[in-house]
Amino acid sequence: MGALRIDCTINGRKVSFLAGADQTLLEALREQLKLKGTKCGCGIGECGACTVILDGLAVCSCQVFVAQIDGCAILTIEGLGQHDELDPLQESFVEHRAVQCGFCTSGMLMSAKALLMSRKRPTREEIRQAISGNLCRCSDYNNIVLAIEDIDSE
Amino acid sequence: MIRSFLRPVTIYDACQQMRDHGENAVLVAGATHVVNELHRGLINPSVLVDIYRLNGLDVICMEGEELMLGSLVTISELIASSVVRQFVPALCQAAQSVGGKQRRNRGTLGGSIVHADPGDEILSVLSAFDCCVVLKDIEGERVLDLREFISGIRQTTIRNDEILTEVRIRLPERGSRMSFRKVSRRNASSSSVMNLTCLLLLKDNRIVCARLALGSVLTKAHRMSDAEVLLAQKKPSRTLFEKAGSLVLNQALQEAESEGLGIVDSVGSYKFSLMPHFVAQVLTETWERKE
Repeated sequence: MGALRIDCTINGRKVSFLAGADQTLLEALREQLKLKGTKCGCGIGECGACTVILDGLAVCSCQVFVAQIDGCAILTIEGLGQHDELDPLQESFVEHRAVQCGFCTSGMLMSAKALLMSRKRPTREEIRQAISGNLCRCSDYNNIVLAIEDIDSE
Repeated sequence: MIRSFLRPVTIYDACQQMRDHGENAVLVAGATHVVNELHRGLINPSVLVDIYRLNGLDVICMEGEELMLGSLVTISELIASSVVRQFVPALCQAAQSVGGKQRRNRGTLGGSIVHADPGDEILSVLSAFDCCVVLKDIEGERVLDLREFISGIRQTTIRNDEILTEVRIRLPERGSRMSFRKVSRRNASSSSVMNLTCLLLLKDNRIVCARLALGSVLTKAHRMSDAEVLLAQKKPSRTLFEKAGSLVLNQALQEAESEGLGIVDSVGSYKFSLMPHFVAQVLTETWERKE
């Protein structure tokens, strides 16, 4: 199988790597690029644990072929805060204790980030809609919604 | 095993590549269906032809009395479009009920149509309208009525070297009220147990025209003509809508039998017991909507 050369921007840095034609973005992130903060949950686009932001939109990285991201900009959980400083969204999740087992958290944060990139002050309904594709089996949705609501994006 | 991932830059190139590789090639756009079909072993292509970034297939515009939708319009773009919201609000409602936000951002209108899932929300709405699809290949194009295009459960009459480029929806008479509702286990990321698109045109408090398209029950979304005939020229009332619900149930049972579908399993019987009340409810909702 011929490897494809992929040139893209991940978390603000230009990246080039070789990928297989059948590889998903999720597989490339975790295996080749060692960005393991993006989780593999269901693998069929239903749980949202693998959510990343692709050209400004939240997508399930298990549902995108890595060959499709050539020339695109991707933001993963690793690019959300700085090395020694959390993103305000992450701070808010900590403050509101919006994390239990933590498996859904990176996906939840990326869906919330995508929403806040397009809406500075989303309503509670918009927040619920934005994370409706992210499942939390600890069922801590209320604290997650409160954490996102509490963000001042100004 | 997938050996090549091709990225054509024109529709012609894409059709040519599909023709060159024949049955070994599968077309990819948003990839939400294709990735899952690969994982489930339902398809086994050696070549993927990616058309997601082809130019000109993401247009939404009015042309006379028709709404033209490019096949690469995403489900999120349908929701955001003021044109769609104004002229076919039921399509917006249906689009909002598809998957989760992530799937809507990536999934395309064309993908919904060519995968011909009997429970597909978008297809349910399109089935309520006079709707055509445009298929292109290297020699030209053909235009097919949506009813001819979908031939069965996840089956269409598209050839492997054709690309669905456009959908044309003939708009109903101005003043028509329409709505889409689905029954599902959750509000998001859940497929339809049953869905219904309803369109009513009223004049002087009488129903001039009614259209009902039932999805996720038969092999494809189906117009419920018996109930449509009953509703025409009648004054809307709760009793009338309940009668229409019973007629939908009867027609659905007959169609299911003629299509050889088992209806005695638990899911089937659950759907059928729910149906009359659900239909009456959606009709009432549509009637109460503003024009």
